[in-house]
Amino acid sequence: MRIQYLENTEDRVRAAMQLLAETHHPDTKASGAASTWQSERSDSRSAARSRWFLAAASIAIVAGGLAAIAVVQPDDDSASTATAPEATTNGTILSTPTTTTALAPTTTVPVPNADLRFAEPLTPGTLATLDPAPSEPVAAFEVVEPTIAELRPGGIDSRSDVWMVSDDEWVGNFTVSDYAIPWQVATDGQTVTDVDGVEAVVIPILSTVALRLDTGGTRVISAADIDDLTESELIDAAVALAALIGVDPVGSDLASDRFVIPVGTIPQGPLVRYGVPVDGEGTDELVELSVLRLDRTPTDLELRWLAASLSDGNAPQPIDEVTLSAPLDGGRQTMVELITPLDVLTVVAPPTADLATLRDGLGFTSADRSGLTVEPFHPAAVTNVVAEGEHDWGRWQIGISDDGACRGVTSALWRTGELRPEVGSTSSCDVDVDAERVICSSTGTGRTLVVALGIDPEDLDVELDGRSIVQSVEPGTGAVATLLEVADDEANSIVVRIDGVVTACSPV
Amino acid sequence: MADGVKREQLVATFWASSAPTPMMDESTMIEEPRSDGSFGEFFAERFAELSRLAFLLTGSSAVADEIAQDACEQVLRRWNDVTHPRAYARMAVVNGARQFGRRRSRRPARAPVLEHTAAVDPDAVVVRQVLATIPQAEREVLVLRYYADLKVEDIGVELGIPVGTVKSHIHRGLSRMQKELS
Repeated sequence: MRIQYLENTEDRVRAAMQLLAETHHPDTKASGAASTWQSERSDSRSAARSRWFLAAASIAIVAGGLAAIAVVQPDDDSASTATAPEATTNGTILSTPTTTTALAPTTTVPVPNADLRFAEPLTPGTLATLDPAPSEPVAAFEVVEPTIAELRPGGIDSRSDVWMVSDDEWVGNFTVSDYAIPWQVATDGQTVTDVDGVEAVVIPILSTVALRLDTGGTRVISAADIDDLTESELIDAAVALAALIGVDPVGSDLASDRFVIPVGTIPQGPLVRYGVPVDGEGTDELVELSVLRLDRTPTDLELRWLAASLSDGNAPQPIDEVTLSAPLDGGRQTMVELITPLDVLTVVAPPTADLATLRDGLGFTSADRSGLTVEPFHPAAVTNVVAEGEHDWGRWQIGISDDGACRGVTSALWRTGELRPEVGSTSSCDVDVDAERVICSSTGTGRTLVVALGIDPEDLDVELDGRSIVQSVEPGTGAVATLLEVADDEANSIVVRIDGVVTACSPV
Repeated sequence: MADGVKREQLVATFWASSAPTPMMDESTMIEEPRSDGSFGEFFAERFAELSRLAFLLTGSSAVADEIAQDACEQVLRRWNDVTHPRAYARMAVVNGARQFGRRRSRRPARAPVLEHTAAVDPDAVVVRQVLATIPQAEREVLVLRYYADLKVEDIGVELGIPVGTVKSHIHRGLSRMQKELS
């Protein structure tokens, strides 16, 4: 089954955008000889800057004529340090500088270490640690699969992973998620088709197939970052998987040589992370150790697939019958070792780390005996959907939990016609802070969901940068909500008044 | 914000946290390294392209040249260090367009208004109208995909956003385009 959905639209948009671009006529004098660099701007700042640039461009052009004298070609090292004009950050930096000895660079491969293998499964929560430690551990996390109670506030009723394999090699991962969003809302405006007798929407650009669940909800089957397949191959695979599993619960055996249920998923289990100084650079690389509890004893192939999934599909090389290593893109190394019938040790190490030395220092201990504080990744698991609503612009819901020490908030927003929600979450362990009354959740797509919990909808007034931009709000269950056409980082202030009193807007 | 599946967030946090920040490391840039040409040659070859990119991102001919010029200035200042000047300048244009958008967002009119086009092609008119009303992030992705002709993975690298987010923006934008084009 192959569905041409938006491809014609893509062609038309591409052609139209080129035409549109050509309606703009750049100042060609600026791109011509530097001596005629445009100086027609009346704006003095622009004119002054243009003159500066004229001079600089002239120098550069002349220098270009003098080739090697004035224009120095950069070497690789200098190039790698150049930065773009404005940084965009989206990562989480957790490493802490240390002063301990770095792992020595080497090409030595690890050798089997019988001391690392046990006949019985490890006690749940067992940590893998290094002794001697290359540094104080940067962090230790309790990494677990989210429970359904945690998933539901994000709108998910169940979630499964499915591996795709080909010729006994791991290809990639698909996720199968059942969402609470009604089918009609999720697929509004989409082209509905049929997959093996089930109403479906096929979206090649997202490598996604959506199926209408018998409950009226929506099952979303999506490829997760599979790099080696084309878009058409990915969507064909997604459709094949949709036809295979339909709307039934995803079992442990798919009876397929193309799709299999993972023996385990990464990351899971406690993870310990060490920062390792990089010689001469003043920065840290990370060594990450985790013990993964499997659902069943893996076959040789399943262990290989697990190793491949850890290395993003790079081919694992066997070290012995239960140990494999593989490179990660970017140079880091991974190692997977079956240490008990149900436990796998996973290691991610810097490019220069000596895996053999590192492995010799490995040990296993309980969190209590390790002296480490193992933090749960989410200090306050969200367990309750406290408010929800459905309007012509989409569906939203808010989940809040409060265990007396910490409070977690999750918002989920489905815009009409969107299969998956935009989700925000936050948590606070400051018990002195009052519970949220108004929640502002930026969707990341130029909109902000504003939800006021437990109040009369007539009394909510929202102002953006001093302007009243919302005339009314729409009632849901347990709250009222509105959707602002602005991202929160584009506004100086979002003010919410309840009964004329300004109320803090808690960002989520 | 990402999809609501925490495990993907964990994956991103744990396995990719020490990866270079997108846009900060020029080695992540996609274009072919520069040739041995001079800055003047680069400027002559690329200024119009950059200005048109700025025009599509802002909808304003009046500021497009200025943004492109700013970008070229930044390339010139780092000419000895930049190995991918085209990609570098492109991101400088994106950043310049963002700043323009922020300034305009302070004005009463909420939606960006394209100030000039003589396009008579009906599809181009629709594209212009849709670009004028969609969020900045969505606009950037669509323009980089269909004008600059970057792959989705490369857009993710240059903008510093996950590939899944790029695809979502494309899908959302195309769906809107399709609705208007039909």
